[in-house]
Amino acid sequence: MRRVYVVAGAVALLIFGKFAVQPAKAEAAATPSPAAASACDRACLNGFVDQYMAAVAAHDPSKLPHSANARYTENNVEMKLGEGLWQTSDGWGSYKVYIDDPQTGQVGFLGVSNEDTHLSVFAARLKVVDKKVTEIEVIVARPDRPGPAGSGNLTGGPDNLKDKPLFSEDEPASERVSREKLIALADGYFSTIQQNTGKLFTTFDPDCQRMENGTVTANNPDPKAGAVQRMGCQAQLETGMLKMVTRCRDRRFVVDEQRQMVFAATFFDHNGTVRKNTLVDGTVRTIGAPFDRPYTFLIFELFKIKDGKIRQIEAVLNTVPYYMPSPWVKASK
Amino acid sequence: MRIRRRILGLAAVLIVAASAAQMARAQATNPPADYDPNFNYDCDRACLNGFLDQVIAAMAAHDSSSLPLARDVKYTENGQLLKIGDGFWATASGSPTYKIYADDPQAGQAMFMGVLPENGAPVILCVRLKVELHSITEIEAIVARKEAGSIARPENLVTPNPIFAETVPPAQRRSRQNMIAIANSYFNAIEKGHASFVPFDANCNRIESGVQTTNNTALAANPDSVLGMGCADQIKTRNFQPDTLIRDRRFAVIDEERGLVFVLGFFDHDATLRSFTLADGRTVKQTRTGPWTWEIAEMFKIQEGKIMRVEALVNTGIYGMKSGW
Repeated sequence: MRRVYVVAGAVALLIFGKFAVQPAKAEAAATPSPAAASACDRACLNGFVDQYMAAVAAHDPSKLPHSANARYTENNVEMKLGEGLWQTSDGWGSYKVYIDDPQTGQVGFLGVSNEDTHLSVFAARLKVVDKKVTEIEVIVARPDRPGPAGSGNLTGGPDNLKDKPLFSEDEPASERVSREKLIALADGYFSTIQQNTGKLFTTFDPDCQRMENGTVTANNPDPKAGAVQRMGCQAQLETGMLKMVTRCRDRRFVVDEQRQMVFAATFFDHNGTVRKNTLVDGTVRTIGAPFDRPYTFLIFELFKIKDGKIRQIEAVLNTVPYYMPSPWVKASK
Repeated sequence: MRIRRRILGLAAVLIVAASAAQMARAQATNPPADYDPNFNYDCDRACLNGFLDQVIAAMAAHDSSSLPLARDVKYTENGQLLKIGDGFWATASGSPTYKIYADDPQAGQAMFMGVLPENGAPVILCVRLKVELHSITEIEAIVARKEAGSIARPENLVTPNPIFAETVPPAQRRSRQNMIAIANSYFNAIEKGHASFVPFDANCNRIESGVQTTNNTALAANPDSVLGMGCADQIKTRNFQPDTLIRDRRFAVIDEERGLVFVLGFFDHDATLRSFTLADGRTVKQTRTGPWTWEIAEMFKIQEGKIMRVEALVNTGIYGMKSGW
């Protein structure tokens, strides 16, 4: 497992390395500094997200400036621009979170999609090169998505997605941590879940809260929420309760240094063989449905970091067949 | 056909035959390392079914070590490439309770449809094998579980219809290509919404993932339901317009002796039809508004050139997903 994690990390590094050296043709000669290596700043990246949304709502890819060989995946299946949600969209909800990474020309996005009044929790990653979109990767967590009952089919839904000022706040320069540290915090979160020994490989803010598909699944203030959901992010993972997640695979990261946010793509594989789990405190738990069968979560997960600690987590996930590879990662094994 | 080398198991030399049947099985699954003109390299129905039984038993035993696997054997489960030992190989938990076999000795392929427990809960399983020179080169499994979005009702599958195991008299058989054309016409009819060219037998019936979806009056209480109708009449209603593309059809197993065609493929629904008009003029509103795909393994019983019965595994997939083949 460690080897796979290292390989995934290496893939991520290779990807970033590739992005980092892609020249911003118009400006590269005049402004060779690394900070200006991208031709598309925050406003530019956000503008492409907005153009993408307008083009989808219009069912017309030509309204989005894109390269001739632009790639599109929807729920981890590669298809042509113009297919899938492009054909069924009836616009968007008002919830919008942008995660801008001008250094790599990437932008992450959280929102709500609308198909004939059926709302879905939505997340996307776009890549922009030379002022054209070259990559579009989306997850549409539709209300009728398949999967084991009680797994990805959380009850919250898009109605619970309200603007969180945290996600649009710039962090003071003095309180920021480096790009590498931001990635390490998000990556460490996945390593903590994958290993599940109770040992933490990341750092949490005490107020850390996690939302998944519109349901608060850690630090939930609702007294009627389940006991696990009421626990904090750190307390949950210190129990070692997530052993049924047998692998957090193919991790990729988009990094917003200014807002101290990381937008991660990953898979949680559950191989269905972990039927008993001994927690850190010695308690033995029997693991039943929905973790008694092989299946995988396809995930986009946003981490907001404050002062070098994970303060807020927001995930969009869909159930996919066990061990489904990513069209964006060459070698999953 | 590519010739692939197999990994020799120690089992080959250790097997002690206790009966003629076991002797036959041992010979069928353990060919000599070097070419032997006296060895029977053909793999007939009993041989292919033996391979299927061994694979399913190995899944339930969580132990594939005794299987005659080719060195480059490929395994997919629900369309994903997995290592043998992963996925259902680690969660299957018992013997099959419902078994249908189709065998194609000419192509070296065979399929199984049945019900197995997975960690104690019954699931519907389809397995396709390809066997070359008595080595397994391809294993394709589809597992349909009871969960959100699934229509699987494995508990309904108790005893297979005996028609699937019946031999079709030679005079009533059709050629391989003719059998494929008959099965293919069924999919074309669903796409096009008219069934006049499909040679359905008047008593044709269909079971999908354990649910009888034709001539089922019990499920047809809703006047808009087509489930009470026969195979042809259902299609003629034009009820299947949301099935926009039946894709990647693979006619994997042609069992000429029993008149069976086993097909793998996908039913795509692009969800662009928000409502549609039936042949009788009624308008139906689509309840699903996002695109989705059904992953299917579908078997046709064909006798005297007519579709007698259809039995399918239908799994909810991701829109546009691929088979891995």
